[in-house]
Amino acid sequence: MNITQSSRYTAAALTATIKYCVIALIVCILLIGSMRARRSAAEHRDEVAAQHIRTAKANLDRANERRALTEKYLAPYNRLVHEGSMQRFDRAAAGDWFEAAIRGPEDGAVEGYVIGKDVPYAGAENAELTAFRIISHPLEFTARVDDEDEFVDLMKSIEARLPGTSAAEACSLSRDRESGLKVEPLAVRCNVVWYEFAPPDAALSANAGGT
Amino acid sequence: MAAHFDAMAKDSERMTPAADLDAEQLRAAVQTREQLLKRNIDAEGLMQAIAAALAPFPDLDIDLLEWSYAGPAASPASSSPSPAPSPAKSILVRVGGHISAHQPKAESNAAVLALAAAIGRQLAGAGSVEKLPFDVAPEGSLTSKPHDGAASPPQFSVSATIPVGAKP
Repeated sequence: MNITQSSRYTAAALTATIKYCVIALIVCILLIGSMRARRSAAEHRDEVAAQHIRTAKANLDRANERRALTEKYLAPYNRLVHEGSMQRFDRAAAGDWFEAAIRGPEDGAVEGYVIGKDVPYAGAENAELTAFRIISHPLEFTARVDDEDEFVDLMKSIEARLPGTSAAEACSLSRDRESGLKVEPLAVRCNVVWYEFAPPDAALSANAGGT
Repeated sequence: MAAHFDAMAKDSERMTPAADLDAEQLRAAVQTREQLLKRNIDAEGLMQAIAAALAPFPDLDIDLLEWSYAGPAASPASSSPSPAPSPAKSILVRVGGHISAHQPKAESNAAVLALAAAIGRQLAGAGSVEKLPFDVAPEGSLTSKPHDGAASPPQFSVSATIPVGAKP
């Protein structure tokens, strides 16, 4: 006997059952779609929120880093400003500084000096510095000393007493065999360089043309 | 959470001391100055190292000692604004002198070769001979007046290149 011929399983009942199944299936698909959309929206919201948190955290890290850097370097920087290291270079004042630096036990050793023309300086030392332009000012001096110890004392005096930012970058010592003295003096020629921290748009200083 | 971080960032900014420059430039200014001061060549250390290198060679007399950064330097004689000099990577040290004419010539040359090596070692660099007391180059010549007491003593010159930052 065919099952569809049974009174309990009429074609209408079967059709209705199939319809309910299809409707249930559609409802399930819609529910799944809706849930997926909700989940996707929630994930998007979470991602946006996480992005906000990451951005806020990065801002906080930057602010903390800026604060730490400022707290570490502000006092040394202010000290430089207070000492006059950030002032514009003045060749006449520099001459006075140098003459003051060579006064003392070695007074008289230096025979003469020349403060040369300004030269912009770019090196690894100032590669990250954009707030200032570094300008170098060369000073060449000649001196006559009795021995190496006197020379070292002279250089130490210059290093310790010269204001601003300077470095002795070249020296030549020659024994004066022609002097006829029992202790032959040392003829000294040295280059000291002053480094000026000038504003980035500053031209070379007004006295660049002279010596 | 983000609002909490934002509030903390604002607090941090509020507590940051006021300065003329931003934090990075404060650091750059201070570190630049420290680095520029380090360009000072320590004359005493250099001379002590050379004296130590010279100690085993009592027959060599030094007449000239000079040092400077190797490479182009700022020229004070230039009439137009010069381009920025490129940073030097090494220091050049030159030692010149003379040796007694009574020393055997081969020994004199050997002493100068050994001195160049010793200076290179003492200064943590590379030493080389610029001029031997007695020329041994194939194209050179050797002139000597063994009994002329007034003849000028044989001259020599050695140099050493030291990387910037090397400690003798």
